[in-house]
Amino acid sequence: MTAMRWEEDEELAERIRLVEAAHVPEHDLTAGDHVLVVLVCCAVPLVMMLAGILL
Amino acid sequence: MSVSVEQSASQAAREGSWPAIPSERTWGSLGLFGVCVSAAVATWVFAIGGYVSYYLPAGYGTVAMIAGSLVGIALVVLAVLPLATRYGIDTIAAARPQLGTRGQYLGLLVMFLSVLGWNALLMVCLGRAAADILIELDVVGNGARDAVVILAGLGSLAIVWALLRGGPDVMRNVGVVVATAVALLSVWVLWLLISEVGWSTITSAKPAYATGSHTTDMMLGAETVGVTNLSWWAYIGGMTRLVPTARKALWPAILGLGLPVSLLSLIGLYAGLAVPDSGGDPTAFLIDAGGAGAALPALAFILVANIGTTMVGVYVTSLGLKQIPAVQARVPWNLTTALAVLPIAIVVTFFSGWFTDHIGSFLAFLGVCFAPLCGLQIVDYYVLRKRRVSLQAIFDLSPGSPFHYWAGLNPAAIAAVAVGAVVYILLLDPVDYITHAPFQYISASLPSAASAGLVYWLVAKLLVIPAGRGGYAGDPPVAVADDPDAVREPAMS
Repeated sequence: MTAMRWEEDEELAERIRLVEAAHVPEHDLTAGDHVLVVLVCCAVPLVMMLAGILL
Repeated sequence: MSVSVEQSASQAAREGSWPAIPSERTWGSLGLFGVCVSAAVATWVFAIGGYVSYYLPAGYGTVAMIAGSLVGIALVVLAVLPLATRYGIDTIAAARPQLGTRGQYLGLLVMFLSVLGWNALLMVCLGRAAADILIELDVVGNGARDAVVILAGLGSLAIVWALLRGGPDVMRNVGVVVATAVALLSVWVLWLLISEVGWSTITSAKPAYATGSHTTDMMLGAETVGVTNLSWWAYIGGMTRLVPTARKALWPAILGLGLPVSLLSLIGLYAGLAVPDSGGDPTAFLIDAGGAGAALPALAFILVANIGTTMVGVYVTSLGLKQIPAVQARVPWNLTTALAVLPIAIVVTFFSGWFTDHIGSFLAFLGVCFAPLCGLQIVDYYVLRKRRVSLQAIFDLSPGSPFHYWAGLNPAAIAAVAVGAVVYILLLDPVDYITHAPFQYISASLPSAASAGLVYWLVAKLLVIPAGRGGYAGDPPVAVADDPDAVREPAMS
């Protein structure tokens, strides 16, 4: 399998086709998910750090 | 495909480097959360909390550690999780679009050495804790210390290897049990600690090595946990690839990997403040104060937590090794996990003293690679590729692959990691923890990730994309090297 192209392995090629065909964009993270991550993991820590430094 | 071929392909995916199809992605949110917690909680929480106790008192330390842990895990999650969960691939495959078909081996090396280093450290710590407690309880004599350290470490590694024979589903099931056990045991250890020394003693204790700048101390506390969580870069792809959707994996990963490190490190913080000589490890103090009643829960915590973490570490290392084509094609799963366990066993048996004396600096320098890697991956995935990456291109290892770049290496990634690492070291010496302005305002990990992302974007825009490499939007068809007459469409899904 050294330096091969994916088409050269029948099992891998079939698997890649199946995975790509099964991909549903709705299963990916949405804009709302990203906003929530930024809020929880960036905004909240920022407020915590500012409170810890200033208070 | 015949049934046997399908079974073989399924095994190659679940216990190897191939992408997992939806029917194989059987982990739910709870299973992932359990595995994440079992990976996150180990005796390193004592060291992390103990280190923060040098700079911050209990209240401020609690705030800084939780804040830092959330920022660190966010970078890792945004860098790896979207692609890993979309296609069912591990961290190394998810990094191939940025690092290149040969550059991925640099990522694999960083992953292997980091996970190996941490796992070996955990096994040595486990062995030493077991020896201390058994000697204290007069189960064995002091002369048997070295033998107990080795036997406990090797025995734990044997358990890890045996558990992983069952593949990822066994790990998921064990992970939930380990997570529950370490949660209960950690509450017990924390209660024992507080009841022995008193809450007021902990809250009134002063940090021994505060810098004199409260802002710097707060940032050091946050950075200590944040950079620790960045090490989950090596783990998170392998852990989330069997969850069917990104949305199901997102919060279990953040809350299971990120938060427990900071919350359980509170034990180390409080122990370090109450008993400054402990370095955050409460076991010796608890044994002195509480005898067997305190020693046994502490030993149980260390055993369960360290075996759980090492199990996940060996699993993701084995998946990484499977990215080497010869290993994927020829080495069965049980032998691959044995190859991942073997170096740890050698360290535990022959080099535990030398290893623990020298590994800290090495791991610290390895750690500075993770923030740049996260930064460049986030910029590549969200800004340059607009979240579109071809799975076909990821598994095309030929010289005609869009991710072959130049000789399999992407100069944008190399430059970005180098600049990011230098920025980190200029702001914070990772070995001696000496800071340089403006560390106290911006930390080291965040500017390291940001500068790496910026350099990656610049080199990609100025060099890689104009050269038609990398499979970015608008690329011309790429000539296939082993068939000069053939052309391939740009790698966009």
